[in-house]
Amino acid sequence: MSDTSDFAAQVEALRPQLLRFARSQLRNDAWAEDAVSETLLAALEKPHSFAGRSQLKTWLVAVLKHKVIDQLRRHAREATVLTTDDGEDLDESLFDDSSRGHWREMPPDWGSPEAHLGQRQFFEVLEACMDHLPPTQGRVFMMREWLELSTDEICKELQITATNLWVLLHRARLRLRECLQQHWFNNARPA
Amino acid sequence: MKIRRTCRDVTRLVLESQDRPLGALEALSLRLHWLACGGCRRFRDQQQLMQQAMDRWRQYRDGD
Repeated sequence: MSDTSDFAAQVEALRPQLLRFARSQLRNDAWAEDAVSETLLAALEKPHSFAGRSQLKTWLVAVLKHKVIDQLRRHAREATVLTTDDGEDLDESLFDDSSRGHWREMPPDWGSPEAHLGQRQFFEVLEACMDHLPPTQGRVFMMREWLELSTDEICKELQITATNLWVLLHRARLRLRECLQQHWFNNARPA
Repeated sequence: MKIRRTCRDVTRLVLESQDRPLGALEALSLRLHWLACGGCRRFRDQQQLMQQAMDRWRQYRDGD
């Protein structure tokens, strides 16, 4: 009996982290709560004995990813609504108007990856930047980068065209780059 | 099919190459452009750093 309650306690202890992951992907508290509840219920229905906490977490995250995709599919229309932020075209600020379409400013040299990727704070900034993407861009970007869905799969789940998707990913990647420039690379002291 | 491209176009292709394979002529046009354009080389290097960052981030996420 204590095994079961231990298991339930271990599962419950992972709820905050699962919620953080779900919110980061879904950008909607209600959907995230639903996805996490469904995940925990699925876990509690199957109290396998896990060798360790890390295996339990891995399994829960895998289940969560499926539940999150269910939420995206269920709420596809709302999940793909564009806000004014989504419409902002960074290309205009980056390139000049001439037919040559040159850079207005030379992109800065970010230096070697290891100078930055060895620092924990870099990843905190990266996550904050991802969480700050406009909601629809953020969802689509995370479907590529966290759920690792193909572009075809994303289009199918969200019922959007490939063209819509390219535009969203293009904007998300440029936004992320800009956010990192402002909040990390402008102040960076390489490790 | 264009062989000479603007920086705006090269940027679009560099970003798209992260989500689809580029055609042979597209890839060639990028390499040609990079020979002459330091700005786009910088952007390419930035994107490589970002891709490595995302790979590392994914590992952290799953492993933490």
